[in-house]
Amino acid sequence: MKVTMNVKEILLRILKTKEIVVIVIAIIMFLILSIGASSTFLTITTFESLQASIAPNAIIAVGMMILLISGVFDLSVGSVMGLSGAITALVLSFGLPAVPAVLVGLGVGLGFGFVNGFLVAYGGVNPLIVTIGTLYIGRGLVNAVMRGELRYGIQIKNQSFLVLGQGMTLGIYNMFWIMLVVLLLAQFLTLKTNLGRRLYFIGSNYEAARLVGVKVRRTRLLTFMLSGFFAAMAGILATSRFGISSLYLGVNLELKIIISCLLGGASIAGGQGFVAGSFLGVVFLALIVSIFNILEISPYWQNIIVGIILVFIVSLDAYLVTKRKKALGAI
Amino acid sequence: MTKAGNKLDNRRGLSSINVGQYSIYIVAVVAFLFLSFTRPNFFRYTNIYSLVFGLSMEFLLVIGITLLLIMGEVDLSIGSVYAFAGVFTGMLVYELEIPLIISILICLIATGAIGFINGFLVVRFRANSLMITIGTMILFRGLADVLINFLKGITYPYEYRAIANFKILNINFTIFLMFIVIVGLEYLLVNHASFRKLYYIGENKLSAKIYGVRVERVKHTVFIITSMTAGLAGILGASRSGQTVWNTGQGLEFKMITAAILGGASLFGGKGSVVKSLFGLFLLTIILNGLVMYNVDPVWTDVVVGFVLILAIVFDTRINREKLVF
Repeated sequence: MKVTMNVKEILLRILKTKEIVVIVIAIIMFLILSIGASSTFLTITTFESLQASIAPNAIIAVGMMILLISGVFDLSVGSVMGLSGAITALVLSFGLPAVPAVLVGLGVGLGFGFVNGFLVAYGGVNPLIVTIGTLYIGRGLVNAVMRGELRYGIQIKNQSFLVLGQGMTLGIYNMFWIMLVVLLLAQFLTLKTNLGRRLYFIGSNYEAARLVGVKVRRTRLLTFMLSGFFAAMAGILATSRFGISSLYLGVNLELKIIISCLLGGASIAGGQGFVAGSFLGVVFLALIVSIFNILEISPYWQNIIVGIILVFIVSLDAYLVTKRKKALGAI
Repeated sequence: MTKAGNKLDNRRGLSSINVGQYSIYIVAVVAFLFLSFTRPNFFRYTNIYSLVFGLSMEFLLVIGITLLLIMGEVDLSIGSVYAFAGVFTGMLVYELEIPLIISILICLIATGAIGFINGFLVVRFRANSLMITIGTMILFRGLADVLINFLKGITYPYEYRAIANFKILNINFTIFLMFIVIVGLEYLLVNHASFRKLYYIGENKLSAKIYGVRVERVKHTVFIITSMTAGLAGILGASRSGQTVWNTGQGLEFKMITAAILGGASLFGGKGSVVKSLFGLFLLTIILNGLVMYNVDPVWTDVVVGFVLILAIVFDTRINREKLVF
């Protein structure tokens, strides 16, 4: 009993330091931006665009964080985001009202999540390769949906749909409110309910969880469907925000989301992290991107820097995991 | 004695269905015959030759991936390294006017360094090779884009373009190279002790270590070799296209993994053969060629590749049940 307490304490300490570092750097970056580039950064439009760029990513990151806690991840989120946005726009262009269109879009996400989850949970297939496969299928379908003239985007005129992404309540975008609700709900579910605690259990030791009687497969299927659902939601919100569907919505997004979650305290090995941490990671990355934009760094260099950050974080994560395992005497 | 025993062990995974060992050959030949009989344009010398010529560029990539998969590792950065190597050599030759041979050497050393970094992080930090190489994949895709942006749309100097067109007996030398390397490597993988080590590591890393295989060093070396072969393929590919091309080699890594898995390699390690991987790549190539022959809209290509990848991996998992990790 005493030993497990100690391990928990150590774990919590590691977690805390990892997240605090991110918070501190984020605050420092924010201050640098505010002071150094006050004329361009400290404006209302910047904050509005930050809100709009953070909200969809943070919603996807919630789903990804839940997957990472339980020890897997999903690379198809970017494609699912793009596909559900495109299909929702297509359905709207047929003249259907907003509610069924949104339901169709969300259904696309759930469908992809189901395929991913089913193959991983019940087929026992490597999640990385499955979701790379569905990434390709999803992106291919986006191209297939938006063919010919539609390539340049499907314009949306339905006002009750556009309110989702462009409307504001109390001076804050509606999509940001939606994100906050999702975030709080997920944070509560993962930390305070039985179901949520099981995710940590599965993530830290899948086999043990299964032997104790946790319905590991069903949980895994559900978490993948949740991830697909959130990706679709983000796609719909982003499409609503732009008022036009885009062929390039969500391209290469999956890696940025994973990086955000790792920054926010998750581990590739599973069993670690808080949902709130994923939000932190997304904000951190959004700040970095705004620094890039203010410094006018070209997108190629941005990719290089993102790659370096990913390599660095994954190495650090692996190093910490090995150290912990060594401390536990597993190696 | 031990060698023979291990050979048998290696086959046991597939022995439940003996046909399974040859299924890739059968499927590839059936697909080839199907296209030959249904599409008049398919079985033409020019079409077949261009398919084989394309294959003789890409086989270098599939070799690296197969060697890594045998050990249970993966390198997703090869597509980016492919693009980077081509344009980097182009820059050295075109912009800095360094002699071609030296440029190629510099480029190979650079790509070797990339492999060294990948291998170092995977081996020393015990990082997940998939995640690490996704990182280097974005990184070097970015660097390749920077270089292309710097060079703009140029045509490479004649001597650089001439490499891929170098012919022996009116047949491109890369095709000869492909057959020699594949057959030689397959022979070594089956018969030579130091190549058998790869299978031991993939089967059971811990016991390989206990029996004195230097797991870390072998893995590190293969990562370097993989990057260098990807670099060589990139140089040949750029030499063939003759100019800077955006998005060269995008998605190539997944195509190669699909090919290797179609050819019987497994993500769980311990299995794989370069000849079968080559046939896997051949099958994938003729499927894509067949889509063109049947006038399928190119937007569906990605969907088909994704679908084939998932099918292959599902079968891989079915066959390798006993080693299931998830």
